Amino acid sequence: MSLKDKIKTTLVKELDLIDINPAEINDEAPLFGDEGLGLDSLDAVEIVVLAQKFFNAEIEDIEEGKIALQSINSLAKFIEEKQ
Amino acid sequence: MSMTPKDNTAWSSRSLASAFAHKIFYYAIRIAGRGIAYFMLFFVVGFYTCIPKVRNRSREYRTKRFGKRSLLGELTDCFRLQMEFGKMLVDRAVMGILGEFIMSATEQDKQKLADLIAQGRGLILITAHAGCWQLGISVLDSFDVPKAVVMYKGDFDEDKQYFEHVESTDELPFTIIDPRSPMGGTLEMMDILKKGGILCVTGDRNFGSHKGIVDVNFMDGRIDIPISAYKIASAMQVPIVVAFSYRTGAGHGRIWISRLIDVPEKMGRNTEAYRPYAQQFADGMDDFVKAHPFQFYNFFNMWVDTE
Repeated sequence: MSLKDKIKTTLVKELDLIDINPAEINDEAPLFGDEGLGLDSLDAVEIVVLAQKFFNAEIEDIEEGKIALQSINSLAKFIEEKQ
Repeated sequence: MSMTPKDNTAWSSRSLASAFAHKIFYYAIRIAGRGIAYFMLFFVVGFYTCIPKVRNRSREYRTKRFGKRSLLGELTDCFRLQMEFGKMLVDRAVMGILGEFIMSATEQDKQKLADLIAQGRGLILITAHAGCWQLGISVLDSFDVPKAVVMYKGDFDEDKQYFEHVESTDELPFTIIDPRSPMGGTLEMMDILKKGGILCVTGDRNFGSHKGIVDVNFMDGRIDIPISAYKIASAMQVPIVVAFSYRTGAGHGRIWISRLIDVPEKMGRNTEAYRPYAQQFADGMDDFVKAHPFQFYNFFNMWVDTE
């Protein structure tokens, strides 16, 4: 399983996104807002915690977080850089 | 069951008085201090109390708290409520201009805060628009950890009256996090907590959002309140302190720790799961308004109707 697929599966499972099939998540789609995955700002807290817990990638500052939490692609890139 | 806000759009950060009127008060404070400002306030509040539209803003709260009153009783209650609010605003301006305000806490409450901060997990301090909430944070000065206040900086002037007395927000002993910033300021909030700091939030208003809110019981009615603090606490395993501040006299206030809330880990995205914790906060507010009925400053109908 690729890193992006692992991220998608983890997000769907841990965030209880019951109506979403991980395979259907667009790598470029925004994680937050009405488009894309449709997560809200509070889900950012969960994603930061999940990134550390499952991928050992700590988002250490705000600017880093803003870049990493754009899309599956940006999150995967961030995790790769941290690992 | 669907809950709809009865009059949720009625809240605004716009002050009743004009910016010019505020400047007169600031000038009086610079020249003659707090006393003259209280004296002027007496007449200003008296004038506004006579305006039915102004009284309507707090009618729902006053009716729930004091019951049905005669016109004289209503005028008296409204005057006292607005006078307390006005004194808080004067105290806030005096703090900004002259730097004078004394905030205290019991040794027991100070120790509770010290013990929680010493755990190094960070701390969420949740309060309400009551007492002297914006000055209450000064009681935290003795703790050498980062502090941040989540503050909806209104488009109008109510929230600016303290800050217009400082050259820049860099002078403040705390960071301001605007919940309207990208991702709702969530990353900034987490950053403070990860550093073992104190995050102060007001938990009694939802600012018109339909997401991330639950309705809870408050003063024999239902109100909508945000769950953000409880969700962050769950995800980061941070303790929550419910604390309220109240004015005890001219330039003096006291902070009171109502209760501690521990939100379990892995509560997930289901908003409803956070209702019991939000209810604990509302129970704390209930206790506060029983003890300090004239220091609760939500001048709009915060209760929701059940259809």
